[in-house]
Amino acid sequence: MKITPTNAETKLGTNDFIVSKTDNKGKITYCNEIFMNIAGYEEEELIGVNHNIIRHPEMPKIAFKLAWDLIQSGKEFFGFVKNMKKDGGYYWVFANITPDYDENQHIIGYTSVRRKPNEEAISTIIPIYQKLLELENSEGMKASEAFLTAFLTKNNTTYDDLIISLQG
Amino acid sequence: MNLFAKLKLLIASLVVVCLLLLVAYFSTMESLVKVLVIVLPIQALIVLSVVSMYTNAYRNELRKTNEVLKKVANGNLYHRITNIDKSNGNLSMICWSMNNLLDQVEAFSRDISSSLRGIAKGNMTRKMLPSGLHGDFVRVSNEINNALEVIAVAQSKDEFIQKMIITLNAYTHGDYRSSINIEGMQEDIIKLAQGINELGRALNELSKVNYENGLILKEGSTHLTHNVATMTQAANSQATSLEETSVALDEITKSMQQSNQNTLQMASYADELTASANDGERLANETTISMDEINEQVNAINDAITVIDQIAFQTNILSLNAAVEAATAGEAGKGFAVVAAEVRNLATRSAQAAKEIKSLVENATSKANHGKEIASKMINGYSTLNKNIDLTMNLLKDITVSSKEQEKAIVQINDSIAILDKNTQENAKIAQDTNDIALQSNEISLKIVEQANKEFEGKEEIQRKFNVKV
Repeated sequence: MKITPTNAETKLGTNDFIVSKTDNKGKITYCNEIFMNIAGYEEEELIGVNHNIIRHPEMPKIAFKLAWDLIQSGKEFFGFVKNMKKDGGYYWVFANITPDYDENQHIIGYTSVRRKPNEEAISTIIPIYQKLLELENSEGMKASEAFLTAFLTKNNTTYDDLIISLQG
Repeated sequence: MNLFAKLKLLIASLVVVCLLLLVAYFSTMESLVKVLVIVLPIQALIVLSVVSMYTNAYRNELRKTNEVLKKVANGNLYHRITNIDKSNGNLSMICWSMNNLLDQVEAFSRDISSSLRGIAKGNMTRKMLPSGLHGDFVRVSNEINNALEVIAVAQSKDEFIQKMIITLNAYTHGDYRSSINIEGMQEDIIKLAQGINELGRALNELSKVNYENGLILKEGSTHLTHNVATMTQAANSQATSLEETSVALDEITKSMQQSNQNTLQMASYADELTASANDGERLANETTISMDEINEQVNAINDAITVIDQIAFQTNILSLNAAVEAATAGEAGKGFAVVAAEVRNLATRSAQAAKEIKSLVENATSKANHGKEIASKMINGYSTLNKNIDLTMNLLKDITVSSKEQEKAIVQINDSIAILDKNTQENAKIAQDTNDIALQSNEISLKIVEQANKEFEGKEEIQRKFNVKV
C-alpha cells in the first residue's frame, strides 16, 4: 500500500526519544511507544518490516548510503532525517544510529535513537538535501556523493562535525 | 493474596453475578431448574477456559519479560520485550516501562561509549546527548559533558603547547616563517605564545637582513672581482703600452739626436757658406773698385788720346803750313814739301791711331762698365745670399733650440714613463692584492648567505631581487 506524502508536520517534543532496532538487513526488531505514536503504526505493523517503511521520498539516498557505510564498519551515524508517517505526514528527527554487538563482538543489528532536531539545522539542511536529491534524480548517486564531498571540502569540515555543530 | 487467587476470586464473583442475573431472569419461569442445570456447567466451562487462556497469556508475557531481563542483567542491553500483548493492560504498561528504561540505559551507555572513544581519538566534539534522556541520565550526561569541557580545554592547551614546541623546533632548524595562532588560546599561555611569535618575527627580520646583506656583499664582491680583473688587465695592457712607448721614445730620441747633428752640420755649412759669400762680396767690391780704376785709367788714356789727337791736328796744320811755305820757297822748298807731306802723313796716321785707340778705350770702358754692373749684381746677389743664410741660420738656431727643448721634453717624458711604469707595477700589485681580498670577500659572502639561508617571510622577494636561483 503506497502512502501519498502530505505537508502535515509533526514536531517532536523536547523529551521525545524515538528508539528502534533492526537486524543486519534493516528489518525492524524493536520500536518504542513514541515511535509508534508519532509514526502512527502499531507494533505488529512494524516488527519484521524494513525500516524504510518510514523513509520519506524527499530524503536523498546518499544519506542512507552514508549511514549504512558507517554503521556497517562499526561507526555511529548522525543525521537529520525526514521521516514519513503512516498517514503521509512527516516529522524531522536528529538520528543517531549505532551497531548492536553480540557477546563475540559481531554486529547483529542496529539501534537508532531519534531526538528532537534543532530547527535552524533543519532549515539549513533542507536546501542541501534538495540539491542532493535533484542530482540523484538527474545524474545518480555518484553525482550527489561528489557534491557532498566537495561541499564538505569547501567548508573545511567533515560530515560528523557539520551535523554535530548544526545540532548544537 | 497472590495474583492467581485474585483472578479466581474475580472469576467466581463473575459466575455468581451471572447466576444471580439468570435467577432474576428466569425466576418467573417454570423451567428455571432445568435451565440452571444446563446453563450453569456451560457457564462454568466458558469461564474456566477464559481464565485458563488469560492465565496462559499472562504467564507467557511474564516469561518473555523474565527472559529479556535475564539477558539484560547479563549486560546485553540491546534486548527488548516485543510483541507486547495490549490486552494485558497493566502488564503491557510494565513491559513498555521496562523497554523505556532499557532505551534510556542503553542510549546512555552507548553515548558514554561513543564519547569516550572520541576522547581516545582526541575528538572532543562527540559529547553526551542529554536530549531525550531523563532524570539522572540527563544529570550524569551533563556532568560528563562538563568533564569533557575540562579535558577539551586541557587538550586544547596541550595542542597549543605542541604547536609552540613545533614552532620553536622550526626556529631551531632555521625556519622562522611560522607563527602561532592565538585564537581561542587560554589566557595563562597566551603570553608565552605571543613571546614565541615576537621571537619568530625578530628572527625572521634578522635573517632577512642577514640574507639580504650577504647577497649584497656577494654581489658587491663578485662585482669587485670582476672590476679587479678588468683593472689587472688594464694595468698589464698599460705596462705593455708603456714599454712600447718607451721603445718609440728611444727611437725618437735617436732620430732627434741625428737631426740635431744634421742641424749642427748644416750650421757649420752655413757658416762656411757665409764666409764664402763674404769673400765673394768682397771680391765683387774689389772688382768694382778695379773697374773704377780701369775707367779712371781709360779716361786718362782718353785724355792722352785727346792730347795726341790735338797734337796730330796741330801737326797736320803745321805740315800744311810747312807745305805752303815749301811751295812758296819753290824748288828749295821741294824737299821740305816732301818732309811736310810725310809729317802730315804721320799726323794723319797719329790721328787715325788715336781714333782707333779711342774706339778701343771706349770699348774697354764699355766692358769695364759691364764688368762693374756684373760686380754690382754679384754684390746684390751675395747680399741676398747672406740674408738667406742669416734666415737659415736663424731657423737652424730655432731648430737647435727646439731640439734641445724637445730633448728636455723627451727626458721629462722618459721620467714620466718611468714613474708611470712604477705606478703601473704598483697598480698591478694592488690589483692582485685587491683580487685576493675580493675573492676572500666573495667566500665570506657565500658563507654569510649560506648561514643566513634560513626559511623566513620575504625570502622569495629578496631572491627575486638578487636573481637567486632556487
